[in-house]
Amino acid sequence: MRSWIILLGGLALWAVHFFGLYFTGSIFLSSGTARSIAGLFTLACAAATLLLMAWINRQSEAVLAGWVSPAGRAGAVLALIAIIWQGLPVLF
Amino acid sequence: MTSETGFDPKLYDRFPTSGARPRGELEELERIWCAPKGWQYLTVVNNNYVGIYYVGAAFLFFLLAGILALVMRVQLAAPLMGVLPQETYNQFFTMHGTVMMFLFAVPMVEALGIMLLPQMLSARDLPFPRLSAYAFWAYLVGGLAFFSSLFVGLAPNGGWFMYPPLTSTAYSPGINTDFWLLGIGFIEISAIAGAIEIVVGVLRTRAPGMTLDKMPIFAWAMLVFAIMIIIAFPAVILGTLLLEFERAFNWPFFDPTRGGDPLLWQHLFWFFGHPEVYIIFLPAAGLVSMMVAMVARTDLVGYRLVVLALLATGFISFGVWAHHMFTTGMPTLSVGFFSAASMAVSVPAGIQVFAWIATLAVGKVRYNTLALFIIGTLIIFTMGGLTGVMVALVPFDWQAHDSYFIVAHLHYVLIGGMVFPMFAAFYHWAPMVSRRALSERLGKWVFGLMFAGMHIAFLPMHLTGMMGMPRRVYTYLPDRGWDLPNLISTVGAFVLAAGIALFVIDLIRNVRLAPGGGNAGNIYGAGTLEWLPTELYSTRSIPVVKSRQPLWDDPDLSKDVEEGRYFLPGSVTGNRETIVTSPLMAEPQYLQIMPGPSVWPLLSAVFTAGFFLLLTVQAYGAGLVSGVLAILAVLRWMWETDRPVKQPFVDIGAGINVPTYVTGTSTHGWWAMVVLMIVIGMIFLMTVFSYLYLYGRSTRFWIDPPDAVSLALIVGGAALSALLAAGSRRALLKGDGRKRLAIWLLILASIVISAVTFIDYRSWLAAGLDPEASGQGAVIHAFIGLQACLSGIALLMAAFVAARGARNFIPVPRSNVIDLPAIFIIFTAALGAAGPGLVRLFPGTL
Amino acid sequence: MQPLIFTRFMTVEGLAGWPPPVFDPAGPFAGSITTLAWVLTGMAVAVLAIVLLAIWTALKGRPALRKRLGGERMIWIGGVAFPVVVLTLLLIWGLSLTSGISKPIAGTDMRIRVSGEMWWWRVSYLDGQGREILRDANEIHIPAGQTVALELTSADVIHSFWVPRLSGKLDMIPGRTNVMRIQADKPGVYGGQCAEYCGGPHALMGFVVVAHTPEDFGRWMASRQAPPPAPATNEARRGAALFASAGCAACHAVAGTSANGLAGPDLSYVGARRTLGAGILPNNRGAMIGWIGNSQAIKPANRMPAYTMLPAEDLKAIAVYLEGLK
Repeated sequence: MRSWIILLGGLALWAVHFFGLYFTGSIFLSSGTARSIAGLFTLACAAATLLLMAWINRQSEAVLAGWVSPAGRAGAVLALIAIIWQGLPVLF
Repeated sequence: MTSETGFDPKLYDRFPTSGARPRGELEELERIWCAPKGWQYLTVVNNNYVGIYYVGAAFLFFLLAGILALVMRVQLAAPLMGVLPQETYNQFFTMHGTVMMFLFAVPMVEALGIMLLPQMLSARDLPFPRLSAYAFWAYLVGGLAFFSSLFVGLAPNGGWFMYPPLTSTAYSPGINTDFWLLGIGFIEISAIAGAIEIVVGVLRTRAPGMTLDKMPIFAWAMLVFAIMIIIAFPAVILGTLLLEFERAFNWPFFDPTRGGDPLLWQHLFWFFGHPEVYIIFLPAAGLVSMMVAMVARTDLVGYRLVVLALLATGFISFGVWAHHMFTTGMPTLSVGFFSAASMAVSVPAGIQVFAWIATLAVGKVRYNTLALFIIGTLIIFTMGGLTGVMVALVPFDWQAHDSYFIVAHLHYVLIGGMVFPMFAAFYHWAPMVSRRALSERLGKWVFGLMFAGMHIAFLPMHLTGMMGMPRRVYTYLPDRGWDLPNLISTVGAFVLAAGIALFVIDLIRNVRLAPGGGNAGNIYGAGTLEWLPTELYSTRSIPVVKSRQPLWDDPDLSKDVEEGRYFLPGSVTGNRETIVTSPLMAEPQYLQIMPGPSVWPLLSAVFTAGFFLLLTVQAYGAGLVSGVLAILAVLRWMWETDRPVKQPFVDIGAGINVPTYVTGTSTHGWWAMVVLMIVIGMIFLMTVFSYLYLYGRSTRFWIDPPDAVSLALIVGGAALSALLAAGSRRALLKGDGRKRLAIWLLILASIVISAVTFIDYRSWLAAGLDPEASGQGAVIHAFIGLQACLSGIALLMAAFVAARGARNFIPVPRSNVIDLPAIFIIFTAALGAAGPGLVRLFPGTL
Repeated sequence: MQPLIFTRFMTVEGLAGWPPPVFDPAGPFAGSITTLAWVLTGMAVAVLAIVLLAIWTALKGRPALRKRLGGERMIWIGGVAFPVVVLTLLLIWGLSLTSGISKPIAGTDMRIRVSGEMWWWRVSYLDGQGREILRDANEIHIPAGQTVALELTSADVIHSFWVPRLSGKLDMIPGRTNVMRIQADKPGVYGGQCAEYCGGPHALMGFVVVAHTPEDFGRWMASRQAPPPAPATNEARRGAALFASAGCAACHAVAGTSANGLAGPDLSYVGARRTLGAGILPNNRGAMIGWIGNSQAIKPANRMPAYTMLPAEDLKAIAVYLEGLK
């Protein structure tokens, strides 16, 4: 299980972020409220992704850690890029 | 290295074994996995056969849909042509899209998975051979019947995404739309069945030692593919159900005059529809990753990044569905989120393209037909990807959307991302299933014609779109300046078709199927396990995998495997069997006894198809009979399952002992049930989404929910049912004496959950809910319908368990026959409390 | 085969396909998208060139170059870093453009309601309070140089409103009203077509937008407040009588007469229109006769029945009458 979290954690955070934004946009439309919520949520998710990367670095005991950890880190990087991009619409 | 199951990896050092194998071992293996004769070709379940059937059927639909495209191109060659009348053209383009997406692309990649995966993983077969046979026959019979609707002028005519209200009864009163819903129904069934098969197959039947990081990329791609099907298909399953309910019973899910909304369909359809593109692309990309390594004769560069790219695509593709809806007037902010996610999904694609280029750079490329198709794939797919980035930008999409620019874009993506890889795969893997390889000389012509034709046909369409030509037009006026680019496109389409025709000639000239050995073999010098010498039982013995290209790294492997010097060199129980291994490290866990050929999957499929077809042509009585027969055939098929063999433990080679019968969370059956529950759970979640969505649109016609008493009864009843089901498992643990109690508890649990559904229905009836009056009524009836269906299945399961109990076919103290129905009933109970809870508390009390 | 009528009356002004309308904008809303389209095209061509060069190098390049290309580092650079830079810039531009184009409408904007119907366009000009002041069909008149707000709705299935030289497209969805702003910088005729498949003759559901100078527009609007002139010739009067007796008035309205059907396009000023059959035929007598006599042969499955039972002289009389409505 831990190996799966390492491998997929970043991408899972991406999913949380995306669907959080989707529901924010659907409920509050393009209002200021929506922008504030989405902006704060983006910062929270980006921070969580960074924390996840730090956590992955400590998981040398997990099954297949030598392979899943670097892969999981790369996944977190991709997730971070996507999370930041998805936060950009808040500014416009 | 940490072990996953406590298995000692040092045991692998016992292989390859030495010494002579016992006499008759090979002969027995051959007898158990013998080839079919005559009518038995219809009842085979071995993936060697079903895989070939599946690929053949999918390719047939590719040709059929391609012919439709050619006729359409003739109609569009010049303005105001009269080749196809308007209505026929509308049916043609609907069928072209639908058949290509649903009857060709998805089944084809699934078919390639069924054909190749067991060999690549060195399993004897997929974990549920009869399920794949069922899925194949349902698909073939249903697909052919669906396609035939064209010949009687009743083919669907609403476009492959079938937007209501155009497809509602008001504007499509004929049964054309019902044929579409029927055709999709089959592919939903076979896709889900295939996904279950592939998830369990990839995670649980890999050769020992094939840890996740040694898995062939194609297996990774198929794993992501299958999980994506599990998440995405429920949306379209629900969508098609709702549309059929609206058409058949006048429940207004999509009718804005009664609190429905046409955009609900678009959300449901595209939540499936965009991942669908990646569902098609990822397996093909997996094949390309394997073939690139083969062409360049080196290991794939950036294996880990490519795996990650597959996983990332799997995730992010679920955040892009609304980019098909940029012109529907969604809020600007939401549109921005989808635009950003659409950009993000191109990054993993870029990773794969550059990994392929890097691999080509490292290796030494052999310029055969395969290499040409790979290079063609790279170029065409890159071009499609770039126009994809263009349309991901909202303002540009406002111009490009629904124009020929999109037609060009999607054909570049799908031909580059799926068709060219498929042809490459045909050239590469033909020697695995045929006595002769395909012709290199013809192959270069096939490639040349296809590559040129593809560009001549589709490159001008970018321009036609920018010139203002909308898609899905059966003709156009002469004054628009669209004549010349359209004529060029038509010429290109025929050049492309000539290439494919030449391929068919090559196929007829050279392919001599050899599913059970005698094939041309590893003529390209590939390194993965599917190139081990195979017979109908796959490989003689199942090797220990130590690298990603075992055949390159251990030159003796083929010989040792063929001499039976690895795992399972014969049949230890006298049955078809394979090794089940752990998901991460592929450590041997138990021996799975596999079912052999059977007529029941075939009959189940034929009756399932009959059920849907007869309902579509409104022969309700006959349809019902066919439905009942389908259920009976499935039950008869299940009757033979879960029979423990005499030996509780067996030696699977070199003195390594594993059990032959296990229960609980590590069994393949449990995993499959969990996958099925995720599918059902997703359908449920999509219904929740529909409910909230329609609530957000308008509550003008909504009524107050029933009182809290009904909710208390429902939640209490559901909890009781779950407890009874759990109790049934516990009772069985106490041994033979409590077996009858266990069965009774299970029956009671299923009855209680059915009663809960009935109470729910009655209480809404009493509250005055009318399914035809409002979106609320319609969705709540959909909830109740779903729950009634699950309760019905629970009752059937309980009856089945009772019947098995009566004939003493229930192993004690633990039994999958009790376990799986029990967890299904507990799951049903959870949904049975959650659904009614939601629709009563929100917006009622909150 | 299609009837020859099309080829006999081919050219409808304002619909020509070259230069491609998307790259030939006539107003600010389309114009900003055109700039984006050029940049995106340039980006696509440049990236394709880079990828082709990389493939070429991988296959035929010098060993040193190939070695540099063949590592994980290159995947990070080409597959991640490079796209991230390019796409971030594009995304920011796209987002700001999106919010610029979809700004809420100003109270001073002129408002026109356009309803997509199978397979034509109902047009209503609205006053400041949203009341209908003028009814028309298949032709939208606007003052050049001014922003006009279009309220897009649908009476049946989903259609999509698209005038490529003036703006991107926006769907017309039953139960919703989508608002789109358009502006033409210069007077002229701009072709449009339904872009969302709406069944049957979706291919033949066109319209035109006519931009006038503000003065001309004012005159046009004023002239339309009065009913059209009464038929002046005997033939036209006979046509008017036939129009009533043949049942045309059940679906069509002509201001100032007893014809007040609402199912089909308003014909009060049909003689002044540039096109017939929803943007597909030029408006002249021959086309009018052909359309009334057998519109089903021209635009199969459209909602207007064929009047093949009317003798040719009757068809002509009706056409003469309608021609005079201008």
